[in-house]
Amino acid sequence: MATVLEYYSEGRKQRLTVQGVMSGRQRTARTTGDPGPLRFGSKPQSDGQQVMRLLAAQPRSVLARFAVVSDSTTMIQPVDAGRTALIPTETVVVLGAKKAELAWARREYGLTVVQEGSDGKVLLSVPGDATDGLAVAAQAARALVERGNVEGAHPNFLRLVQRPGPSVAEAKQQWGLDNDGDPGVIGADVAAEAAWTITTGKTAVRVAVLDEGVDTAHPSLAPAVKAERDFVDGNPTAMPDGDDAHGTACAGIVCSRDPKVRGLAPRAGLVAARIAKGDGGDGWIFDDFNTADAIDWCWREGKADVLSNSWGGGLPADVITAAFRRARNRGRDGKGAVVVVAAGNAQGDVSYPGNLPQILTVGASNQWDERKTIRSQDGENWWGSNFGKGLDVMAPGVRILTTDIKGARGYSRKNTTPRFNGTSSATPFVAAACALVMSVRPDLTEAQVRKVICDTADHIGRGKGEWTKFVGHGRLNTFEALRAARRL
Amino acid sequence: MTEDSYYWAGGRKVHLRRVADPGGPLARDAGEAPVYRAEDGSLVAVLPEVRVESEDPSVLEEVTSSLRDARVTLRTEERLVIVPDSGRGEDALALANRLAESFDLAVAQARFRRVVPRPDTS
Repeated sequence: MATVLEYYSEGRKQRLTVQGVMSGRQRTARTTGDPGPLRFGSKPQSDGQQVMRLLAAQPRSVLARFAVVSDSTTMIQPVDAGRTALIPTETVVVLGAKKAELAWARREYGLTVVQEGSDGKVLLSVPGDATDGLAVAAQAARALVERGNVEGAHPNFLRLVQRPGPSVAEAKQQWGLDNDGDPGVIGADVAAEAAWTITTGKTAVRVAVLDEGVDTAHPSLAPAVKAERDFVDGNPTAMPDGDDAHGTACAGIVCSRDPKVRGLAPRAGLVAARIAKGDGGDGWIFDDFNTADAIDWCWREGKADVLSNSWGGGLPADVITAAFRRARNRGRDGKGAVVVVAAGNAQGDVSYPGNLPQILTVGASNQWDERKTIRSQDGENWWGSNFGKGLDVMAPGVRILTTDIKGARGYSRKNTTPRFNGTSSATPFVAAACALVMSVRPDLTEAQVRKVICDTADHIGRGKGEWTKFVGHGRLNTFEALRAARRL
Repeated sequence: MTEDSYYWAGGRKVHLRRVADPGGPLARDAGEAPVYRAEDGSLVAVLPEVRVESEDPSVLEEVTSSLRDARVTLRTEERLVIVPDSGRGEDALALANRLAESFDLAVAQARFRRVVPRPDTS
């Protein structure tokens, strides 16, 4: 039997027909204390509908994100609304309600407040013992609107939005740019598709990648290269040695122009500075003075607007600290170059130079919008993102598809790799986002750019949106950063 | 013979413990330079060169005047590069420490070549 849901939106009554009822059991955070892994399963059915099923208890981060899961055993019911699949829930969003009105809703429908949002938003839930919670939610929402004492009220929906673009298989792989939730949580990404409706970057805005070299002849990177230099061996190019593939992977995340393996700022310019080389084992050898000179060169001769530093650890060095300070104070003709630094991968304190003030220090998140730890759901149990004092924002850092050096000495045999990870991969996402912000607002100072990036991050994890030592200000949201920058 | 030492970074004294026979790629890369193990366990080789930075040219003049058994090999508006006559990393480290403790400088550091963990977790 088809179920019809009616509610008010945009001043008129909306009518939705539930097109199918899928089998499955849903569990919610309110009824379970299970700390187990939390994920949504989503797969298309033969009739074209989507089934979403709660596979296990919800973590708080997901609840905070959706805040729609009830404790009933009602099956998930998709509703077709054009290109968007709406999944009704047994909760109601109310705007601008006074306490007296919320009390009325409790008396009449048993609705209880489960979450208070910003700007007068309240999320109400129907009683757990309601026989048809979806209908109750819709009825209550209609009644609240018809009484005229609230600004708005409607059932709360989960939405599965279909995206245009490349094939699903290819799009899936760049989850950091656009996460379709398989695996992970839909929208746990840097909001690249939305950001690109505003800008894909300007070539005049340059991002410097300071690393163990960049394959500047790579077909996906070569068109972006504006300047390069080797501060290790004095070569005229920043080409890496041997199996040194790290910098090429970082650069691809910034500005790869391959439409199938796209950088976040694909029209931005690239400055490549080789500052280190592998030691043949698990270490990097680098020279403090050369590194400081590279930092100076990037903003001075290379005209870099952003310095992306996916390296760190070891002892502090004043020559490097001073060079970063000069970049911030004197780069971009005095507006300052933004310094972006990786937090480190030891699941401990943020390492040097990420612990310096007035830079953007980046931790790694995963497909579930979790801080990457040795126990996070991604299954990579050999590393965790550093955290604590100095951490600013998070960005995707697990299984990132990006450019690779050619041949078998890279991460893969092809000139792309789907496996790059670490705060090393998170850092160039943020550097690229800064370049996009500067593309629309080249007049902003580096401090303003940093503030925009932090202020617009999506909060993840525990807490109520304030900075926390585990995730800083939250996960990068490039689209929101661009919107905020335009309003400044 | 231990010859433990230290250097200044961020206004803090960082202790260094001399490693007699470091071996490995850093030793190969650093040649005769002395190698130390730092507080965090990382290895640094100290090369015979000191970099001094200040935005005040008069301070750099005072530094230059104070030098004994060392020479300025590069001078810019805000920077001096100084090499000890002995060509020894140990002397560069001692000189950098003396300058850091005697003058108000943004930077007074001996040249380190270091090994850090590869930032690669893939």
